[in-house]
Amino acid sequence: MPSRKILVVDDQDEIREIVGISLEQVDGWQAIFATPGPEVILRAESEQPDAIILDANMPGMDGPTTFQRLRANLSTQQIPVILLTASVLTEDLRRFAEFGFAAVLSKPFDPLTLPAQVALALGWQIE
Amino acid sequence: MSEAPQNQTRVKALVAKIWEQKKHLTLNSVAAIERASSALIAGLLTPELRGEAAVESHKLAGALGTFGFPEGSRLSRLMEEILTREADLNREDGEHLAALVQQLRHELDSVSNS
Repeated sequence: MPSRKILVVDDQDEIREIVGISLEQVDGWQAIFATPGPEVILRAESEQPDAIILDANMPGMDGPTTFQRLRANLSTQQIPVILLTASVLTEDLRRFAEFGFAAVLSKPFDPLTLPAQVALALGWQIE
Repeated sequence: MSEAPQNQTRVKALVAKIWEQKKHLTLNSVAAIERASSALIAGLLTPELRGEAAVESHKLAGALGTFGFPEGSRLSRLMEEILTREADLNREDGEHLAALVQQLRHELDSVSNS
């Protein structure tokens, strides 16, 4: 199975940690982390992850704004980004759908099934 | 033999450990909503208190289900709906919020103790 590196961005430490634990259930998947803000862009540039999981609602630089910065950067614009959102508002979900995320996944998520959701969204195979 | 069941047990144990380590943050969030509901009932709710409570209810709605408290997420979402309503809130809203906070505390206690 190919090795996959996934950058996880969330302002809540405990959620970052659980996403990481969840993803690393899959052999060959490695989670790396960044806190919201410019660190995300720097980490994405230097690590070139296979995907980024981004929380929607973060202080300072929210998910959609971070996504736009990643898309505007030549070295990160090709990295698929999955948005995680706790919003259930139709207007938010419609707005997110227009951004071009690889997928928009709901919070709360089930840590046991998150890797399968990510794999499905990105067309990756997992055993 | 598949390693999946072992992995799942391991993930559940790690999530439970993180909950134990971080549950004080959840209780802080609940306390922030409780402060807002008390202030609202007393007619003293400020935009800052309301904003803080709205942010905390959103965080709880997104997190509690992941920790195994789906009902906690549902209750938090109801609180968020009240706090982010595009209207001034009244005493009745404060009482509704206070009742939801009570239910949430009960839920967290009952699941934690089960």
